[in-house]
Amino acid sequence: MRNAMMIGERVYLRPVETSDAETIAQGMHDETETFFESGRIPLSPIGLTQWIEGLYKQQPSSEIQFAVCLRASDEIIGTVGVTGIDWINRTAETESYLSSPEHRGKGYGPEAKHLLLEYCFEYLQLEMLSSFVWEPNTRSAAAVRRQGYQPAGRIKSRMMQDGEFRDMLAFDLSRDEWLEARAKWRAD
Amino acid sequence: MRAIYLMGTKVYLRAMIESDKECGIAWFNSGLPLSGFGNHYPINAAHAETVLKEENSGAWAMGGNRRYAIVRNDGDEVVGSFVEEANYPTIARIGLHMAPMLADADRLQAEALSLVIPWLRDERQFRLVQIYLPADQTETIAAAATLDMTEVVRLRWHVARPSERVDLVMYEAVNARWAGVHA
Repeated sequence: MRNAMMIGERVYLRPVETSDAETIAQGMHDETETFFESGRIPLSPIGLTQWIEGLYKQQPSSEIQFAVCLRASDEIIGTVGVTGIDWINRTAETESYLSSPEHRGKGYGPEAKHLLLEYCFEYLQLEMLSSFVWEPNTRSAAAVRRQGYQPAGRIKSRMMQDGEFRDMLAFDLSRDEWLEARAKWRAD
Repeated sequence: MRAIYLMGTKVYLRAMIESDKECGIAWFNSGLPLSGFGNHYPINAAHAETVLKEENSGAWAMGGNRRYAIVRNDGDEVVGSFVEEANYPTIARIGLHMAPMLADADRLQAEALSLVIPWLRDERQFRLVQIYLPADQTETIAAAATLDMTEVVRLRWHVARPSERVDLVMYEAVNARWAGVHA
């Protein structure tokens, strides 16, 4: 493992490096799903490199991102992170993206997300987390519910699908709710 | 300088001006200008001047946030700021921030919201106007209801107060002209 910060059974989280930009960009070019709020967009590794550089310029940062890597091969298969960290109110918004479609549906995503949530609640001592999912992305909505997130409402979105604006679904999560969900996930 | 179409009985709104650097505490909100959380850090005149120049680097501030001062009618004291996110052409995400230690902050903020919503929704005809408000800002929330804004999201315990945590609530104003195209 390389520079690991949170270690699970099959995946680990490490700081995202500028050398990951090419891999992340390639994953976006290989995207098979269309249910993201901004649609499928093949981002440039040039811009992704600058984004990664920016993550470390301010400490403590308002955004933290991890590369999700397979323990068996060190291959990066996606990213998980928190944005909009409010260090006074101790809140943040979580996000995750498995950029390699061939690695989806194998349980790597939930394992990485639980490592991220452990980092948020146990290391950063955040009090509450939120997550926003575009309504057509039913897979992510189901995933965050399994991770313990509670429905918090819906926001009208700027994006359309099939000629109609679709909502963003809001969720929030407390530490206790996450612990309960993780225990259930481990038991399963 | 006053915007004649953004005048209330207690406050008015105007663009930021150079002398506002002297009262950065009143209008600056650190980090998350649309969060509704307010400011927790000091800002001196030199840094306030830098912020003002950065936020007004072009006439239209496109691609960023556009900030306006909330000013008390009586005495022209800057008491807060209103921020309009300029990223999306049909949605106005806004934030209100009031100066710390103001006894009537919630009341003044409520009037500022009452000036802003008709301007954005009815005059400029944004499809949506969205704002986060801490649930204990009762006068502003009452104003939101009067303005036909509805609660659409409630993030539990997202705001830290000295002895408790309170919810953070998003209110949304929908422009009726656009209502038919929503799913």
